[in-house]
Amino acid sequence: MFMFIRMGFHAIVRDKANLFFIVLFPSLLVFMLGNLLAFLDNPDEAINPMEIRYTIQTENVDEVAAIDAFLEAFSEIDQITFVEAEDFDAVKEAVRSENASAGILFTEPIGIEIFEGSDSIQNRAVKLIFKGYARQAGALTAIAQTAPERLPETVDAIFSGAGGLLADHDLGYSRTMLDYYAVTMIVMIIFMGSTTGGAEDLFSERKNHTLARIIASPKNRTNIYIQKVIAQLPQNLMQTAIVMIVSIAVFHVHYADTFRGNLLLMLMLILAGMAVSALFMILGMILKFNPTAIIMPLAWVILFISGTFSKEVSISGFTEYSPAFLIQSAAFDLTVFGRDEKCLIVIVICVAVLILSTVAGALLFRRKGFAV
Amino acid sequence: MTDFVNVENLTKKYGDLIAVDNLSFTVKEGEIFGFLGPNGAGKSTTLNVISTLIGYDSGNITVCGYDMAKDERKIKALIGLVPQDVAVYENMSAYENVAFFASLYGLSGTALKAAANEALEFVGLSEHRKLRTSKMSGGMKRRLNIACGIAHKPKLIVMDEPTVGVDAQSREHIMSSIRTLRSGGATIIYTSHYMPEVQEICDRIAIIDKGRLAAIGTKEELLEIITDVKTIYITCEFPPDQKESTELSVDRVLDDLKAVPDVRYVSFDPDESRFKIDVTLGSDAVTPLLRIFMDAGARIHEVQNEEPNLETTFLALTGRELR
Ligand SMILES: Nc1ncnc2c1ncn2[C@@H]1O[C@H](COP(=O)(O)OP(=O)(O)O)[C@@H](O)[C@H]1O
Ligand SMILES: [Mg+2]
Repeated sequence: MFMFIRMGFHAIVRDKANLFFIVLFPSLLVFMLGNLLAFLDNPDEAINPMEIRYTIQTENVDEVAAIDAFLEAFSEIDQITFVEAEDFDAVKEAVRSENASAGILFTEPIGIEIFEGSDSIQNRAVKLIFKGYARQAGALTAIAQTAPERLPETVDAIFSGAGGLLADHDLGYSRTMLDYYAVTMIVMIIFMGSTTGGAEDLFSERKNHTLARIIASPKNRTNIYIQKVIAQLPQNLMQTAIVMIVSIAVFHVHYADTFRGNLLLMLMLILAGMAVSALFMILGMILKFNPTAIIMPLAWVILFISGTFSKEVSISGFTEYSPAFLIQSAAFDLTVFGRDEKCLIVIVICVAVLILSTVAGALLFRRKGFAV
Repeated sequence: MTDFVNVENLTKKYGDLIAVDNLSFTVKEGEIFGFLGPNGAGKSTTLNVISTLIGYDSGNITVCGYDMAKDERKIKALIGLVPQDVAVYENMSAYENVAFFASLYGLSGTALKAAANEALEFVGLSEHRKLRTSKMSGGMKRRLNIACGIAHKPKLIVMDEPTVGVDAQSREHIMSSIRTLRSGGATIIYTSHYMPEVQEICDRIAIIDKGRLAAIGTKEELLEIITDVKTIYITCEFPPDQKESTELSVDRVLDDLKAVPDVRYVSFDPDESRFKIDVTLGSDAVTPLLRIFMDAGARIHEVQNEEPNLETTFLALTGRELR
């Protein structure tokens, strides 16, 4: 009864090419992409330590206090040091001779002049810092003019150390590129592995003439065919489980938030693989030439328009109907938003495709003569 | 002996091609039945129909009393198939292959183990039972191919050219195992286009050509059909001082030989510089033959007489050489 399933397993672990494509290749992909994307998540270029010299022209006490409080906040950042200078011409000269990274002139009322240095990345950082300052100062001025009595508490709130006005909450929605690619990689492996695996199965049995022996036996052909479909399970189970487990264990990839969600995701991906396998088994029965020759280019195209290789790719009218895209978006709905409706719909479709393909395949399999 | 396989008016077409043409024969229980014919004669097609692999256009087939049209599965259970092309899984061991195919016939547990081991023992692969098929030699694969077809102890063993491409030692082993299977009670249908094999082990032989039955019977019966033919081999040389080339001389001699009334068939083997001439037995054709050679200026080295054999029988029946 389980002979075919055992054989399906043998076919994976004993054939070096299969072993590579089903076990090693996905793990390698996760590994490569994992390292690559972890690197992409870091900033492109580090900001070198910088010294910013500034001169305060304003005499307004409140404003000077505000500037001091603002600059004080940077004392914790080692990369940036602020140095006050009396003579701004000397500051400009220092920037020009690259002794300082930038020069800031605080003018009256709450104006800021920035003198950039030669490092474009540092210039960007300086601009960002003082854009924030200018907005804040603008807001404070507005409050001072419209509701002066609220000014003290606002200033207190801004500068009162622990967060102040800015509250930072982690809603758990933060996703890395790897979380995206881990899902699309499984989808890719389904469309590369299950398609060829399904089609090659009966094709190779025809080519090696072993199908003749199977068909000559008194075993019921429908029964044989159903077992053959079930025998696709080891491959589909392994290819999905390996990527999920390796990516979680080694790269801490985040799939669904709950155990149930992850189980559902895995079930959907395995069923999708089984449906694809069963569909392509039919191809393996009717093609006269090696099915991989047409499957590979087809799979690449489908995956390409489905945004599997890059989330930027989307062709309206195609992408939203592509099975790979539907599986991916159901997976993201589940992993990112914790919604499982799409996932359940995909599962239902996959089961339907699996059953229909199995029935159609079994009918074809009962035909006489195709094995010889 | 009772009829074990009965084929009546079997016809199988592939499009316009009639691969098997109104073929009828019976195979008796417990015999080794040989199917002899050149490539493309329809041997495999006939065997594939009997082993239920392919359908047929018309005819009646019964095996062990079961009608193919009604009791196909009962027939399947009786048959052990040894296909023309080695049919085994490359990534499985010898034992796993045999056990897998035997399990398709309902064997399981210790019975399956015993049957698989016995079959491997039988073909002399016991020592290599754990060897991956992909690592086997051609001869070993052929023997494994046989083991996979017989492990379930079928009553009818259908063997399609089981010795193609094997070394002499494996061939001997296969020949003797076929005999052992027969003494174990199995009926065997065996095809080959290698004459000596068929002559050696078959109890009865059917000669087919272009899908049609040319003759059927025991080896002796077949020889009797055409006792009127014998073969004369004449090895000779055309001296180089002749006016015309050797090829022209050979062609002219061949034409002259064909014109002799009792000559049935002539051919020339340039490698051995030998003419092969089939003549009607009893007629004294040798003298006119030798005259032709002398007229052509040939220097005769050797004249050999060969008594009738299956090769000449086949030739006489089909006008074609077997290989
Ligand atoms: N599947 C097939 N489709 C078309 N023609 C076939 C097929 N199988 C065999 N034939 C043709 O049928 C004839 C008999 O073939 P076969 O039974 O294999 O001969 P043999 O086994 O005696 O060499 C040949 O002419 C062969 O080309
Ligand atoms: Mg053949």
